[in-house]
Amino acid sequence: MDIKLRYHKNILIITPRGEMDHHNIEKYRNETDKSFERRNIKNIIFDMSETDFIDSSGIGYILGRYKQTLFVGGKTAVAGSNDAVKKIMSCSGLDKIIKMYPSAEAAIAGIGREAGAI
Amino acid sequence: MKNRAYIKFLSLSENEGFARLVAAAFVMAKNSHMDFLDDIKTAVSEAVTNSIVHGYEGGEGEIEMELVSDDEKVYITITDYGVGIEDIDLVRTPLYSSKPSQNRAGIGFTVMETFMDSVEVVSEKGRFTKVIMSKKFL
Ligand SMILES: Nc1ncnc2c1ncn2[C@@H]1O[C@H](COP(=O)(O)OP(=O)(O)OP(=O)(O)O)[C@@H](O)[C@H]1O
Ligand SMILES: [Mg+2]
Repeated sequence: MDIKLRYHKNILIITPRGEMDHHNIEKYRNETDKSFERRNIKNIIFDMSETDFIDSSGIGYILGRYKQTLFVGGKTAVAGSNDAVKKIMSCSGLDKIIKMYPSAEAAIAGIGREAGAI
Repeated sequence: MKNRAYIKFLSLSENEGFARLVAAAFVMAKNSHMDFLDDIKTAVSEAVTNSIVHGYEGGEGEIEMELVSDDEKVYITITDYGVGIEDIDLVRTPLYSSKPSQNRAGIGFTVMETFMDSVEVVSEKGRFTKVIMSKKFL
């Protein structure tokens, strides 16, 4: 797996490409944590359109970022999930607390509308 | 026809992906449906990650994975010789995690139960943990 980070205003968009498991998350944790702190990020979007695999470690990581954004009064959203991602999101109940969008662009618009990110 | 395979590997996190692929390759001969393979991979990932993170607490140890199939089902057993589990009912409670601060959601067992047909846990404190799962071929 590698990870793509991009920014839109105060939104950090994380695109995990490949397999989002415990091993890969530990590898990229530092990088994503730093960019969250350094850039005054309030909101995070996980763009899952390039994620082939996710397990509970991935869910735990998303949940951790959700708590982080909640703490600074922002939002975490998940976008572009395939069926495998949706299945684990719903069996963990995460789909009830984190908003799902069809694409990163839709999530940017949604967060902008709701939280006044723009 | 019955088949059986067995592997033993070190408790390194890079072996999570290795174990997933081995399990998927094993069942592929009998069922190559994508959803089926994804379910198997996810369940194996949960059990192996638990052995690495909780069983050996990040330290070095050996993990065994046994794969058995007949015409009907695949049986997967994952064993570690780490700290073991004192109260199995407690740890299987949804959202329970002994390490919640490390971004653990406490859903590993729930995921295994959802993705497989049966999940059995046998453990002895300070000795071993064994997770036995099965799933019917689609
Ligand atoms: N192989 C093991 N050895 C020792 N303890 C284990 C083992 N597997 C699971 N446990 C215990 O069971 C608990 C629940 O496991 P489960 O996989 O459901 O959640 P988790 O690993 O804590 O979090 P998540 O899987 O959501 O990242 C763990 O927190 C741990 O205390
Ligand atoms: Mg787990």
